[in-house]
Amino acid sequence: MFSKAVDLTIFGITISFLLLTILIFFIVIIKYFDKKLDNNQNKKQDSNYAKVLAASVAVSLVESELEHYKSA
Amino acid sequence: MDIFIDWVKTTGIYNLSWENLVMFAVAFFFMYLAIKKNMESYELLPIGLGVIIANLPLAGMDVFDATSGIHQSSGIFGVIFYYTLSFWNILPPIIFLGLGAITDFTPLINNPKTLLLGAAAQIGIFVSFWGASLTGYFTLKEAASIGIIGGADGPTTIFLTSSLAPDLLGITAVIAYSYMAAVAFIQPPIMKLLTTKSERNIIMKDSGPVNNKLTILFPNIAMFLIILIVPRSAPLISMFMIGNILKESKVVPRLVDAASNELINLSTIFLMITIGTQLNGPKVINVETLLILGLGLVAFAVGSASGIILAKIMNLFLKQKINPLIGSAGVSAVPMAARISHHMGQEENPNNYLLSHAMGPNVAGVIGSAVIAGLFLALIN
Repeated sequence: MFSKAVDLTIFGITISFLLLTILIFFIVIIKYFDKKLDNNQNKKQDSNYAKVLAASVAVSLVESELEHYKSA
Repeated sequence: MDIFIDWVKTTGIYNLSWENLVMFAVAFFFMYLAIKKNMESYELLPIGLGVIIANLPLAGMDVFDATSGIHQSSGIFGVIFYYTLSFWNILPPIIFLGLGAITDFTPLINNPKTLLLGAAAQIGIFVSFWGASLTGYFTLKEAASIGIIGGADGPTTIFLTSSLAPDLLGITAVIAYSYMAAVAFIQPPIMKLLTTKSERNIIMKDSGPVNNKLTILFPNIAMFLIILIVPRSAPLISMFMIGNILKESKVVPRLVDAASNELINLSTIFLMITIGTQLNGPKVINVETLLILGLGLVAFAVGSASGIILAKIMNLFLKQKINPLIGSAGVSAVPMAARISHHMGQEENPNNYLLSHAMGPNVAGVIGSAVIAGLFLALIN
């Protein structure tokens, strides 16, 4: 009976450490991809922001030129 | 006169034994701890009341008559014990659903390495499992049920013992809850003995909130993985994770409310009184009970020590050190063990806030002990 208890102990401790280590691995992987995804989204948002800014500057320039010609 | 003597023989007073009187004292002690000291009140008060009922001779509240098929001669707690613990074993998983609904995995996701501290604390379970096997008083199934006390997780202890050694259910459950109540006395001396002043002073940085996607993904992944590897832990792990996913989804507040309040409260009332009714004096006052008391204490102490020692070993390799005090929180006992780590840290440095960090190993301990229970069920049953 005691030898089975010893076997169970070694196996039980190994499995519980192994399982929780795999869980740690998954958490690290998920966090990594989540961070990457966030960075990509931020970059996308940044590039859109730059485009919108450029477009609005262009529009206001054209408008001011138009105003200038009208007044002239 | 004969009628009078016959009547006297049917009274409880005539049938009262000294073991019943001892158990009344134990019951009043539990009630004192619960009411005056506010220790594990939700468990110890109903258990104490159950012990009183079980030791009132001939009351029959804990009797279950399976032979008649009608059960009219059965007592309410006998029926509850038979159907919800012995026959179906459903009350512990229902409690786990509620526990999942109030659990926050954020500290664990913020600092995943603390999961290992929860695994280390399970060593206590195996030490007392060995001890119980060596005494020669217990079978392997009984030894496993005694060992699981070291997980300091009441529902897991009840779940495993109901399946492996129903005769020990009352005593193992009560000892598990008693040691959980006494965690404030058991752990601090061990923590002080195994840590230096500078280690207790280690300040851990707060990592802040976690993305909601992660808090939903983690319990899903954990449920898949653990149940695929240890299927017999499914009743506890699946209910725990389902409760947590309901909470983290943030779309079913009524279900979360029901799981974490009504469901867990109702289950606790019936479970705890029924556990108390399993402590009938003449049945439980014996050498085996004393051995279980001792082995449970060993399991609890070794579990606490193992978490602290592993934290110290991890610190040899880590840049950002872990305060070893949070290692002892690996023995579930949620959230008292985490609170003890926090208070011990604050004793050294009032600006040291360890509570959220200690909740990581604390929750990992719940998962770890449920996994060990599943392993015992798969390999011993």
